[in-house]
Amino acid sequence: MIETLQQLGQGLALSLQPENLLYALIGSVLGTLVGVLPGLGPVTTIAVLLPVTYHAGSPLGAIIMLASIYYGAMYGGSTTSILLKVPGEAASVITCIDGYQMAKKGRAGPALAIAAIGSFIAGTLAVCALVFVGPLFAKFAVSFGPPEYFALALLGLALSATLSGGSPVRGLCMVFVGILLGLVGTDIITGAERYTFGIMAISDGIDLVPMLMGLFGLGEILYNLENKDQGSLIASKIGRLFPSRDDWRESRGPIARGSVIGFLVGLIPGGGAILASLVSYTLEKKLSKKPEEFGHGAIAGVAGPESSNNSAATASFIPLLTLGLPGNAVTAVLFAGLLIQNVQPGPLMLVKNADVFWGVIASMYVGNIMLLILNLPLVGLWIQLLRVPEWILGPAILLIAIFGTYSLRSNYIDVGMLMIFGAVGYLLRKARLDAGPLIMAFILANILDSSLRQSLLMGDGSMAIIVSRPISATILILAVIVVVSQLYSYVRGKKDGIGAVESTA
Amino acid sequence: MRIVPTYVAGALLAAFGLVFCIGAFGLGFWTDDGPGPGLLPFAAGAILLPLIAIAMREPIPDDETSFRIEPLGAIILMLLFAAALPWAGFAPTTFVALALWIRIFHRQSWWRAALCAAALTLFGYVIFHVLLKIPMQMFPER
Repeated sequence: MIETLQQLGQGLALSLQPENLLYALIGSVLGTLVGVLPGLGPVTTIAVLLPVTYHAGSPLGAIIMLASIYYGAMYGGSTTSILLKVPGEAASVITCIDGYQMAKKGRAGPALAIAAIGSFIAGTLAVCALVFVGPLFAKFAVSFGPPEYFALALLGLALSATLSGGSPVRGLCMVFVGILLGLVGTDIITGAERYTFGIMAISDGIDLVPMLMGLFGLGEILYNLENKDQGSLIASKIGRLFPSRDDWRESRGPIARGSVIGFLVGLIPGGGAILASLVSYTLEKKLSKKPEEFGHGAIAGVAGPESSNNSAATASFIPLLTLGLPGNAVTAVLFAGLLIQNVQPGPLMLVKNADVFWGVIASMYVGNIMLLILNLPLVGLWIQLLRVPEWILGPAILLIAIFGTYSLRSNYIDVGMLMIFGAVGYLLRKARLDAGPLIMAFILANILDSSLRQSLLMGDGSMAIIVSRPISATILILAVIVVVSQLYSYVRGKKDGIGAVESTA
Repeated sequence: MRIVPTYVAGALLAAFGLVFCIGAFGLGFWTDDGPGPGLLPFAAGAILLPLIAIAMREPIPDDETSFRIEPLGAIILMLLFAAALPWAGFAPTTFVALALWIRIFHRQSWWRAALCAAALTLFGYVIFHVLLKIPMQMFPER
């Protein structure tokens, strides 16, 4: 315990160095700046800004910047949800319901303040929990062999396919496409080239960054070209910023409960912030003495989900940092950021890159505090950003995506890949296919492949080894339950006439 | 005629899955040392195909509109940009691509498009080439 606190102290000291504070500041500002733009959520924001972090002086500086971008984007997303009813990211959809109603009643200030303060408290509590749970996870994971990793990767994919919202069949399609894309390149076991078609640039596999920036960044820009005539956005007046005593009283419980719910949901691969905010909102409505106020500007409807999604965002770092398994699309992008910096997330990260591990955790505190100090008083300024015409914003993001992609490896092929994946991203978006599970599967494909083959070797060609070991068997059963239950609900929904269309809406 | 994006995506993804299934035969499913490099690609491709067939049978909502000309035009413009980049350099290609983008897809006047494209290109040059010191070929090589 004392050792853990000492290491956290060292991480905190590192993240408070002037250079790292500057990265946190730049990350928070950039993240918020892009995050407030409608349609650009944390995934797109981090993906577009990923190459910028590559040029930070140290791996820790880069990761601090990434974490700050993440928090900044989450914060920016809530701001537009409350003021404009335009969720900057999926997890803020729930905040739109009551946040926007509060803004319409001239109470945008308290809604924004509670969202920020609730996020800060929940984030801080989640970081405290992470400090103690993270190392335990890592210790536990050291004993994992290929069968356990195979089962875990399978569970992560099952959850990401079925819990990301929408039709589970479409989610599973995206998972298998992601696996296939992830298998392109030289096979690490036999050295055989797989599906490279003689193209040298992809012999080490398809590069994740152009793919991410294409699918999420360029794909989004292309999709928005279709919807640019949807009318102008009119920001509400912010009014008084600080919540009243009644607001505090009504928010205390939801913030505390949201923090706990978010943390637990965030630990589940594929769970993530959306599910956490949904669970929190439903619970608060059930517990409330005035449930009729929900949907009409109840502050608990903002406090709970916002705390919950922030807590989940922090908790989702646990499987990423300790198991090397990204739990959702955002952590998948962060995973790429760590790899770019030659930091391999996983059980050994605590041994090999302890400074980065504890630095990341400490930087979450720093990022949260910085956002609270910096962004709340500047909310009016962020909203002014929405007045910048789309004909400037779209090309500006396009430019950053192109120059940023090239800057990583000074490679023109990457720019070409960006364009191709941009077109794919647009097509997937049009066809209502979520690229999140695809990215997760792309990252997990090699873990899945190597652990499956090593398991088969260990079991003399028999899959029985996976079901005969208690941990892998338990995880595998969970994965099967997740897929079967989601497919059962899907089939039942179709039979009941609800259909997949409604479920994806 | 309404071209349904789901069907287009389904057809392309099915072709993609099929390529992996067929390619897996050449890679081998099993070697003397154990499972081969084609095992997982074949399995994943083979599962993908029926899944796509099921997804295609889902009802298509009315709001799944057909493809619009602007994004398709933008994709062509971007592919041309990527092709021209290695020999024309970043400055002229970025300027021309952005100016055309703003003029055609955002229907701004030529002078506004040119001014904005020039400012953005300069911004990219300063941030990435000057400040971040990325070696970039800005103009065509002589």
